[in-house]
Formats: sequence, structure tokens, C-alpha cells
Amino acid sequence: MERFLDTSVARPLLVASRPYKKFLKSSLGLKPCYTSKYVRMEISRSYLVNVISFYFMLHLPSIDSYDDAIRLWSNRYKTSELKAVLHLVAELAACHGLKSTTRDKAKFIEILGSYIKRIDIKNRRSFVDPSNDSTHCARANIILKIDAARPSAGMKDFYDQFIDVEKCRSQCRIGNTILERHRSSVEAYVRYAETLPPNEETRGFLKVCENLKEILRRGASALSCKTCEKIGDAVIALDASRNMNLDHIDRSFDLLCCLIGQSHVRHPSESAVMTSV
Amino acid sequence: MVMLADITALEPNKPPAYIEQKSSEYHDTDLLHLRSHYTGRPIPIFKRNIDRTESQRDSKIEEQSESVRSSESPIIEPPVSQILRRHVAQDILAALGQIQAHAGLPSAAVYAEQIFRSIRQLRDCLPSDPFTEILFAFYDALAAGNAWMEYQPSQYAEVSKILQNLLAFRTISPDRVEKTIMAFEGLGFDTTPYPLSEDVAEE
Repeated sequence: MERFLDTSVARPLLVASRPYKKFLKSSLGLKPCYTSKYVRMEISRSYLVNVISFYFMLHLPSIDSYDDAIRLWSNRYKTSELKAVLHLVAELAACHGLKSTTRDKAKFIEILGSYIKRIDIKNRRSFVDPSNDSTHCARANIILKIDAARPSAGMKDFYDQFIDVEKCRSQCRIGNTILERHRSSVEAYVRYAETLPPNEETRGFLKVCENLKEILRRGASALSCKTCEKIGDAVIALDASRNMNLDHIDRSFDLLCCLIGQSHVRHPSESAVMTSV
Repeated sequence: MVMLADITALEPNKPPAYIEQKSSEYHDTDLLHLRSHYTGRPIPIFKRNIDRTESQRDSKIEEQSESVRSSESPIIEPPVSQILRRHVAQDILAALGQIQAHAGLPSAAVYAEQIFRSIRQLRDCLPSDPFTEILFAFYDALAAGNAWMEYQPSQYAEVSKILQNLLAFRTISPDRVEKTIMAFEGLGFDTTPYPLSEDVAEE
């Protein structure tokens, strides 16, 4: 059976630690894996966009070195997704033997730009697209085009388009996916959620269903790029091909897949694997 | 060591003599001289000195703006890029040959270091060249976590073939850059080796 990867598996294949990448690759086998444009958009949203923000912070005239940028970023931004950027920056600078000076800042900007482009290349080219994205997500269609001579122009263009959520929402068909095409499944999720006790196993599923319930109540007006982010797991499960196996790490998929008859496999998290190594 | 006087004595369109030098005989600044010869652009270090003298501005502000300017580097004409690529690639290919022979031995570190140094030279000289971008990917695959120790001779041999093929091209298209990076991946080289912290991965 072909393997369709959720974001929680596709993203570590691009940016996790080496032992965990090895573990996932050996679990997934040698055949090419599938992901949708929507999954690739989730990777851009949760990782690439943050690294691009850091890239532009480095250009600020008040930032003398990458250490200045790290300090400002870590003092100002506290969420774990944003903190993850610091990890990348520190390792990248160390491996390239760059010092935290004004002169090395320019070199670091070039290297970071090249790394951003590489993540995007791998995100687009590492997986096969099954072409079944019923959401027609407009953010997923935004392409990062980087001209090597003027990298920041391409990144700015990508960023501007990606954060224009009103325009993106006006072009997508998420309403059709949730409220028409898969409405009966969505209603089944919400009904089942009402019977479940909140605990560690059900927490993720209940969170998704709480948002789905609100969308069912309010209709398409409740759907924005922000709410889509909150129901992303359901969108991926509903849109996955039923003749493929959905590989995931998040627990919410256990119930999301079972209730619609989607074949699936849950893989252990990175910390679980690293603890057992 | 090539001095500025040597450069001015060169005939136009004739490669300077030190292009034939063995890798161990030239220095980090040679590539900047070579670029200067072919493009007519000043050597960056001299330009910086002149800027500071002429403007008499606060040195910190000057360096700051210069660092941002230099991140948007000037485009060097393809034939010059090709010559510079070949120049650095000779070193890298020689080191790749040696690292295969020394794989698994402490002496492999000598050749890994040579690869890193050569790629850094190219970074300083041709920062926005597609060949540099490809080599950055290879650099990261080797450098992070000292992964160069883990790769097999056959993997290095394949990289040598890829780089030799690339040298035949006068220009390297963006599509070729992408395909080459994915070819490295296909060989088992992880070109995005810097991980997210674990707490992010868990979310």
C-alpha cells in the first residue's frame, strides 16, 4: 500500500535530527512517499515562514551580528516554533565557522538564504503529489522563487503572498471540503467527540472537533486560514486517498482515521525514539 | 602569494600564471585577485578601505550597510564564474579522491577540512553562484555533526562524478541546482541536517 504522509511525519523527514530521520526512513521503506500540497503548505507555515522572518531580521540596520538577532528573537518570541529557528541558526553559524561580527553577518545571510531555498526544494521535491487536494489551498500554490543574485526580493514576495490570508482564503475551497464534500464525516466526528472523556489520548481529537463543531454551526464564514490551521489534521485525514496508508505521529489521527475507515500507522515521536536509542 | 602588482602586469584575456599553481601553493585571497582580473572589479578588501577613507563616516555604520549590500552580491559574468568554479573544484575533487582512500581513518579529517576550506573560498568569491549553492548543500551534509566520518567511499565517488559533470556547463540553471541537491539526497547526503528542537517536533 502507498504511504501518504501527514505533516507530523513529512516535516521531520526534512528537518529532524539525523537518527530520527533514519528511523522514519527505515519505517517508511524504500518506495516514494506521498504528500499533498496542503501538507507541504503546513510545513512552510510552521517552519519556513519563521526562518524567513529571521532572515529579514538579520538585515535590520540595528542588528550588528547574528548574535544580536538571536538575542532579540529569543527575548521577543517565546513559542516553541519560533524558538526552533534559534536552534537552526546557532548550528548553521557554527558549522560554517562564522563569528558573530558585522562582517560575518553578510556571509551568514547568504548561507541562511541558501538553506531556506534548500528546505523549500526538499519540501517540493522529496514527495509525490497524489493530486487530490480538494481544498485548493491558495497558500499551497505560492512558490518561493529565489534569484541567487537578489535572494531577499524573492523571499519578500513569497512572504507577502503567504501572509495575505484574506486573499488566499478568497481563492480556496476549504468550505466545500468541510461543509459539502465531507460533511457527513465531519458530523460523525463531532457526534463521536461528544461521547469521549477528555484525556491524554483524546485531547488532540477533541480540540479539532471543537473547531469543527463551530464551523458546522456558523458555516463558511467561520473558516479562515487561522481556523484551517486548527482543523488541519481533520482536513488531511478527510482528503487522504482511502487506498493509501496515512502515516502520522499525532495521536488525533487515531480517531480521525478510524471513524472514516482510513488505513493509518502512528509512528513514535522523536523524543520517544531518542530516549530509546 | 600573488600581489596586486602581479595582477596589473597580466595580459587581458590571458589566465594569470598562478591559475596553474597546485592547490597547496595558492592562498585564500588568490581567487579574489583572479575575479578582479577577469571582471575589472576592485578587490573587495581594497574597496572597503577606500570607502572608509573617502566617506569619513562612522565606521560601524559603514560596515553595517556594507554587510547588507554584500549579501546582494554583484553578478559575475558566466565565463568568469566557470573559470573560478574550475579553479576551486580542482581542489575539491582532489580532496574527494583522497577522502575515499582514507575513509574510516583519522587522516580523512585532513581532506574533509580541505573540502570545507575550498567551499568557503568559493563562498567568499562567488557567493551567489549556482555552483556555490550546490556546494553549500554538500558542505552542510558533511559538516553537521561531523557526518563526513560516516559517508562511504562510494558516496564520495558519486559526488565527484556529479561535480565533474557540472563543470562542463557554462551556466547552471535553477532547475539543475534543484536536481543536483536532490541527487545528493538520493545518494544519502542529508543537505538539511540542522534539526528542530524536540519540543517543536512534539507539537
